[in-house]
Amino acid sequence: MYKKKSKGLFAGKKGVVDDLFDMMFIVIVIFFGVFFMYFVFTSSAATKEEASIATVNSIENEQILLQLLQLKIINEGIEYTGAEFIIYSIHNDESELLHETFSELMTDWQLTGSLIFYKGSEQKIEDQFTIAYSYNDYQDYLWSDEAASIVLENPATSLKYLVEFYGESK
Amino acid sequence: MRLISNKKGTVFHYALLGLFASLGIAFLFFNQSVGLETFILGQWESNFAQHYTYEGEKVQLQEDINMDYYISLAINETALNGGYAQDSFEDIGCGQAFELSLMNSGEEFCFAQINQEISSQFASIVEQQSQDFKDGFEINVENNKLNFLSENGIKIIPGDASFDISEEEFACLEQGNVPFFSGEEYDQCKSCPDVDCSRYIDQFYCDLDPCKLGCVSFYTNLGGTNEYYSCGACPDEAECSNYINQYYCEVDVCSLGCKWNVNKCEDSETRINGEDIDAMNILDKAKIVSNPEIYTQNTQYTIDYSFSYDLGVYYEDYQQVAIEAMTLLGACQNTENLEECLEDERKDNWEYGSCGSDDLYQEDSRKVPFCVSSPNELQLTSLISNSHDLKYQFALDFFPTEALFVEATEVTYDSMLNAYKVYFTESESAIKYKIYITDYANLDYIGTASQFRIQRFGSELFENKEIDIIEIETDSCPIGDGHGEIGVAYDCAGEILYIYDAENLILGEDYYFAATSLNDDSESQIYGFVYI
Repeated sequence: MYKKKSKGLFAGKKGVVDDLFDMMFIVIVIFFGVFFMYFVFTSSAATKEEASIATVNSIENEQILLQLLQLKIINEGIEYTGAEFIIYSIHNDESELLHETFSELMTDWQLTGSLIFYKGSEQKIEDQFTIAYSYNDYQDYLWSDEAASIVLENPATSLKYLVEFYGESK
Repeated sequence: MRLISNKKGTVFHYALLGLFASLGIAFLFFNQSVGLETFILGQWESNFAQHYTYEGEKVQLQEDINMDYYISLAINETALNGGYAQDSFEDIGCGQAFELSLMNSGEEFCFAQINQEISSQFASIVEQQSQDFKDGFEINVENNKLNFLSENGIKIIPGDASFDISEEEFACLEQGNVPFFSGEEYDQCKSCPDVDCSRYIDQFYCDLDPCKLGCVSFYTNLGGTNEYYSCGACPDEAECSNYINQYYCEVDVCSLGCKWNVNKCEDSETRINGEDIDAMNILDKAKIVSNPEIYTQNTQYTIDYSFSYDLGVYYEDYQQVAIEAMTLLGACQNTENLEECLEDERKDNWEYGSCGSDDLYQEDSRKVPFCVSSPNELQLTSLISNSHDLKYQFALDFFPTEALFVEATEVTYDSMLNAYKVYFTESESAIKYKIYITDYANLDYIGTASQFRIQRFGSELFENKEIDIIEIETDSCPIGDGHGEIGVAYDCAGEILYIYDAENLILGEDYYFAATSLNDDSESQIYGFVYI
């Protein structure tokens, strides 16, 4: 395709068009190649980053929720796990106690997010019992991410309560 | 000059050019839909963590709550049975009184090995109430620690598995009932009627089989695809090869003994997973029926569940109660006025009667029921109310180990009969009484009859008459004008009257009478004499 010898760029007429098109072809291929690579890597990297963050957030939310449910809580001299305390409080309609206890715990442990308690096993507004959140963070974290959730069952009554945790937006 | 004249091969350049251009444009406008973004490292792992690992953690968390509740229930029920599990309640060696277990009989004590009893009660509760350990579990008590271990672990159903039934239907199924439909709309919830499999409304209910009718879905093969046709009982001549896919093969509703071998269902000696699905709770079973691939997919996640609980404090508390009970028995068993003694000797944490009733003294043949609050003020937590004191409920038998005092209260002479009428108090524990007569004056004597026999100087008479309690006439006390019969004892409203023949006695002489009670081999002391 390339001439072995050339006295000057336009010294001979033969091959000039070939050379020109070869050069144009290379330029265009490089252009589209770069164009292609750019979109492949930039767009997918951004999407991947979003997906990774969502995944990490989701796992982190699960961890925080489990951590909160396993914390020891002492109420009136009796030791409960977080999960047991939720069941106890909802059963006895102690929404204020539940809100205060978990809000304080989340603030102390620097667990940022919102914890929503429902009196039933479904996410129904009318069943929403109370919300606990790290102080001053309520608006920022509520509904802003995918929730980690658990349905707790009171073995004494078989009643079920949904608990959701919405973590910090990243 | 034309562009491609005499330019052999140039066409390929343009073709490549066009190809790259089109690819670039395609990525430019449709890069979001190409799907490259789905290839994220760690995606499978994070999904696994979320749907299995964390789901497993949540299941363990709920099991911990259940176990705490069951152990609390077991401790409470055992304590209220006097330290015995309900299963062993009937076999307690010392028997029962007031429908409570007796903790002693004579000099034998029947206090329980409370740790073993709690463990037994706990096992019984888990068997009755938990669906997750139907495959079996082990419980043992070592060093006052109760250890629980599930045999086959808990199979984790993915947290995102869903099923397409309404909340009402599910609530109905959870209650052990079955929903009824009007057309295709949910109508009401009732217990399972006595019907056959054909009444199940669709494949979901046929496979779920909430009424446990042994139903199986039948399919037709139209145009090469299997379609649900009807619900029926297992055919008599079914074979493993009739199961249309891996799910039905492994669930093996018809109990044919099948296993899935790569792409076909074959006979097998043992069922592979059949027992699992039968034992599952309705939620898990509904998830599997709705998503059969969960059951047959390669990813299976099972957690080994174990639980440990320190019973040391309850063991020590029960020992303390046993010591208090023995102390109370020692103080009051051989006293005539049991109620007075118990009132003085019982501790503040000891109440009469069964727990929950009023603190009123009850007694039946010197057996007394008690409700004893934990000496160490142990409390049991509850998820439905405030914590409550641990209380033990049992009865103690204060039947004396020695004969109790009886006292001669009055003696009169009946000239009509020529007999002395001797009145004395009765004793619940007596199996015999003895009436003593002497001419030796020592009215205030308190001591044994044998000592009295030795010390009576100058006395010629010291005789006795033995009365068996079964010989006592209970409903013909000779009061008023009645005289009674010589040599007979009568029960006279809390006192015993014995008519002593005076034929051999000298009229006008002073005679002194006393009474004692006999209990097995022992005889009570003489508690003073009476005379006319």
